[in-house]
Amino acid sequence: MISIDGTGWTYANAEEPSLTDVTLCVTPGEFVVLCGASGSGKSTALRLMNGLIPHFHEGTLTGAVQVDGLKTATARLDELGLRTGTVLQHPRRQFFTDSAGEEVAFALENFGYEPAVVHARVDAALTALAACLPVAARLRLLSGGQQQQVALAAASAHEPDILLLDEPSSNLDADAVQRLTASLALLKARGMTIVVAEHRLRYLRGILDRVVVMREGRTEVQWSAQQFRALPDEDLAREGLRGEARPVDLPELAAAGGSVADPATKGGPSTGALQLADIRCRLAGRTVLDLDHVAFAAGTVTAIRGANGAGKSTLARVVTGLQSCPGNVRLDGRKLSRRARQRASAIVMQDVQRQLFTDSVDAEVRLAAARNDIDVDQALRELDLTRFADRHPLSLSGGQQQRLVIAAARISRRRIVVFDEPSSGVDQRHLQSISDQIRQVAHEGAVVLLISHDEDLLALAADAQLTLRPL
Amino acid sequence: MSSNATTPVAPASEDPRLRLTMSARDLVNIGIFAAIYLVIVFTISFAGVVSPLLIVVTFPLSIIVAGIPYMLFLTRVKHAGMVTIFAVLVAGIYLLAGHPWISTVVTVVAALLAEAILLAGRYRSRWAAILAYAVFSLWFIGPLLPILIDPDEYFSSATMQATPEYADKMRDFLTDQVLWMYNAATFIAGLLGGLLGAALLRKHFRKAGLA
Amino acid sequence: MPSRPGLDPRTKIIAVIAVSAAVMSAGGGRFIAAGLLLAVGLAVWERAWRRAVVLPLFVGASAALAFWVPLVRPHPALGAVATGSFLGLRFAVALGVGMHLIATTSPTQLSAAFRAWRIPRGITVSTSVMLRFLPLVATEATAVLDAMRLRGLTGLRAMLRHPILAIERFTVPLIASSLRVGEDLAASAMLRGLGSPHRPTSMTPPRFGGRDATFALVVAALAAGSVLLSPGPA
Repeated sequence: MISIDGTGWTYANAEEPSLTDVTLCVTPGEFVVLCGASGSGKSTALRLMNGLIPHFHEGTLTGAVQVDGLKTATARLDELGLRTGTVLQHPRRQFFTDSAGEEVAFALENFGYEPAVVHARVDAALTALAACLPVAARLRLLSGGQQQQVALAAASAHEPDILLLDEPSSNLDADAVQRLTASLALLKARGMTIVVAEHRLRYLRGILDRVVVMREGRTEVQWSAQQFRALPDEDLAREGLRGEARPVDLPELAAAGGSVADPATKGGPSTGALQLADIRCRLAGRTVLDLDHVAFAAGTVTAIRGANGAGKSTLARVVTGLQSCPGNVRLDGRKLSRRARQRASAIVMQDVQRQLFTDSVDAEVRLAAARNDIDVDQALRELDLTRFADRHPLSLSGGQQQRLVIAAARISRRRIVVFDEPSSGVDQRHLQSISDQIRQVAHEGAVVLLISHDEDLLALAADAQLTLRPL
Repeated sequence: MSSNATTPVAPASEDPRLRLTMSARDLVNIGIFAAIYLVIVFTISFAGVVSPLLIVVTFPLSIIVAGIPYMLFLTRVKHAGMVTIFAVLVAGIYLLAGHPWISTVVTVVAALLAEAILLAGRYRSRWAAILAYAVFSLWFIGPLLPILIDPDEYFSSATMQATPEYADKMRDFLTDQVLWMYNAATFIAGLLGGLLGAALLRKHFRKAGLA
Repeated sequence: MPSRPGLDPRTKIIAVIAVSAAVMSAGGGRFIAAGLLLAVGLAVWERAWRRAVVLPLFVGASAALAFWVPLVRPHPALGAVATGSFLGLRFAVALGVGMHLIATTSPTQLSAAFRAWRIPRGITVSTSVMLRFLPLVATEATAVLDAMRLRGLTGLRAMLRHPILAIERFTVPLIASSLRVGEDLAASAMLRGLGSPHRPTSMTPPRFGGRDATFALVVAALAAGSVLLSPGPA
C-alpha cells in the first residue's frame, strides 16, 4: 500500500536535511504508528505519504515513494488526496467551512461526486457524529475532541484507502483520546490502512500492528504490537515519547462566581498577590465571565482549565488589561487600571509568530529590555540564545521561537505572565523544558497563569488550578 | 481502491477554456494574500471612518502599508494572470462594500497594466514590481469617480441652486487639477508602498524564508 | 447561518450590483431613496434590527451634511465634507444591500453560486480561500495588536516618532502568523481536492424560487417608482 525506500528530504531554506534515510513498507489494512521525538522527522515522513512533499512544501527529495500504486513525485496532489485522507495536527486550523455537514461535504464536492452521493455520505457521517457532538453547531465552538471527530469524518468521507494522522492526541483530554481510539478502531475494522505520527502511544495499544521509531530523520527501531505492549514507560521516555496520559489532580483554587465550575470549592476570599473581584464580562451581549472573587499567588503556577467557551482566554485578557470589564483587579494590594495591567503583564501566545517584532534575536531581546537596565549579552547567554543572536526570529524552529518569547517576557520583568496552550504538539523532552521555563518564570516572583488542556504539562508545571465553566 | 459506483463523475480531462496554467497552490496563495491585503487596508481605513479628518492620513497610509504584503505576494507569482485575479478578488469585496461599479472596472484595468509592467520585467525585476504596485494602487481613485464623472447632478441640486456663490467655489475646487493631484498623490503613495515592501522583503521576509 | 431560508445567493449578488450601478451612475440620485428602502427592508426581513436602524440614520446624517449644512454655512472647508457626504450617502445605500449578502450567505453557498454560474476555477477557488481567510487574518491582526500593546509598542508618541518602525512591527508579525496559520488550512484543502481539475459539484446547488421572483418584482416596482416620481433631468 505504501512503500518508501531510502528516502531523504531537505526543506528549502533549511540547512540540515529533515529526513536522511526513511524506509517503510505498509501493507493494506495495517495500522502503523510512526513515533519519535520532536524533530525526528515523523510528521515530515507523513507528508511523504500524502504528497505534501514534494507538491506543497518546497525542497529536495531523494529516493522513491509509492502510495497506492502512484509515484508521489509525479502524481498530482489531488490524485494522492483522493487515495489518502489526512488529519493534520490542529483540527480547527484545517476546517474550511463553518459546520460539520459542509466540512464533510467539502472533499466530496471538490472531487466532483454527484450531489446525491454527497448527500448520502454527509447524512451518514452526521448520524455517526451526532453521538458525540451537536452537528448543527459552529465548528469553532466545539471542544478539541469534537473538532477532532469532525476532522476525521471530513478526511475519510471520500473513502480513501489510506488514512494519515499527525499527532491526533495532542490537545485532547483523556475522554476525547478514548473516543479517538474508538473511532480509529472502527476505521481499521473497515479495512482502512492507517498511519499515525505520534509521541504519545499508549492509547493506541489495542489497535496498532506495528510501531516504527524515528531518530534524526531515519527509521531506526521497529516494535511489533506484542513487543510494544511489553515495553515499560521508561523505555518510551528514552525515545522522547510520552506514556499514558494520566488525569492530573491539582488543588482547586478557592473562588466564587457563576463561572467557577466546582461549587464545593467556593470558600471565603483567598489571599494572593493578584486579586480579582466582581468581574462580570459581557461580550456581544452575552456574559462570558462571572467571577465574584479569586486570588492568584505570586511565585506559583495556576492552571486555568475548563471547556472551550468557558471564558479562559477572556480571563487572561481581563487580567492582562486587554479586555475592559467591570470589576477590580489588584496587584500587591494596589488597584490597577487597564493600562497599568498591560504594563505589568505578558502573554506567551499559542502562535508565537504574532509576537516576534524585530529582525534578529538580539534586537528582540533588546526591545524587551528597553526600559530595564539589563546586560543583554549576559541575558542571551543565560537563556542559551547566544548562538542564535544574529538569526531572524522567524527563521528559528517553533520551539526556539517560543523560548525567545518567554525570554522576552522574563527580561521585561513582567509580574503577570500568561501561557496560552504552550505545549501543543510537543514531545516529552520539550515538555520538560517548557515546564522548566514556566517554573522559572514563577520562581522569579511572577504570577503565572497557564491555560492548557495538556494534562502531562499540567502535571509537570502547575501548582493549583481554577476550573471555569461556560455560562 | 474506491468502488466504481462512487468514482467521481468528472475525470481529469476538462473544458480546455477553463484550464488555467495556475496550480491549486497558486490559487490558494492569491486568496491568502488578497485576505491579508484587505485586512491591512480595512484596519487602517477604519481609523478614517471614526474621524473624517483622519482620512487625509489614513488614505495614503493604507496604500503604503498594503505595499508590504503585495510585494511579498509578487515574489510568489509564478504565472501571468495571478496579479489580475488578485485584483478581481479585491474589487469584488469592495463592490460588496458599496464601492461604485466603475471602481471595479478601474481596479481590473489597473491590474492589467501592472501585469504588463511585470511581464516586461519578466516577473523578476524589483523595480518593475515597485512600479507595478504603484500602478495597481491607482484603483484607489475609483471610489471618487462618480462625483467627478457627474458633478452636474450635485451642483444642480436644490442646495447648490440656493447658494450659487458657494456652488461656484465648489465647482472651482473639483476641477481636473484636483483630480490629477489626487491621482499623483495615489501614485506616489503606491511608489512609497512598493519601496517599503521591497525594503522589508530584504530586512525580514527573505531572512525568515518566507520570500 | 441564516435564521430562515433566504434568497438564492445569485439573486443577492445581482441585487448588489444592480443597486450599485443605479445609485452610482450619472443621475443615480433618484434611486437613493428606493435603494435605502430596499436595504432597510432586507435588514428587517433578516431581523438585523441594528442595521435597519443605523442605516437610515447614517444616510439621513449624510444627506443633511451634503444638502443642509452648505445652506446654513456655505464655507469651502465644510464643502469638502459635504462633497464627501454626497458620495458617502450613495456608498451607504450600496453597502446596506451588500451587508445583507455578507450576513446571510456562507462561503459555501457563495462557492455554490459561482459554480452554478460556471465562473472560471481560478476565481472561484481563490475567492473561497480569501473568504475563509478574511476572518482568520482579522483575528491575527487583533492578536498582533494585543501583543504590541503588552510590549508597550502602541504608544502614540513612539508611533509618530518612528512611523515606519510601527508599521513594520504590525505588518511583519501579521503576515508571518497569517501565513503560518494558512499553511495547514491550505494543505488540508488541497489534499481534499480544492483547486483540482475535477469539476466540483455542490451538495445543495442554488435554486431560484418563488421568493426570488417576489423579490425581483419588488425591486422592479421600486425602480419604476423612482423613475416616475423623480422630477426628471433638468
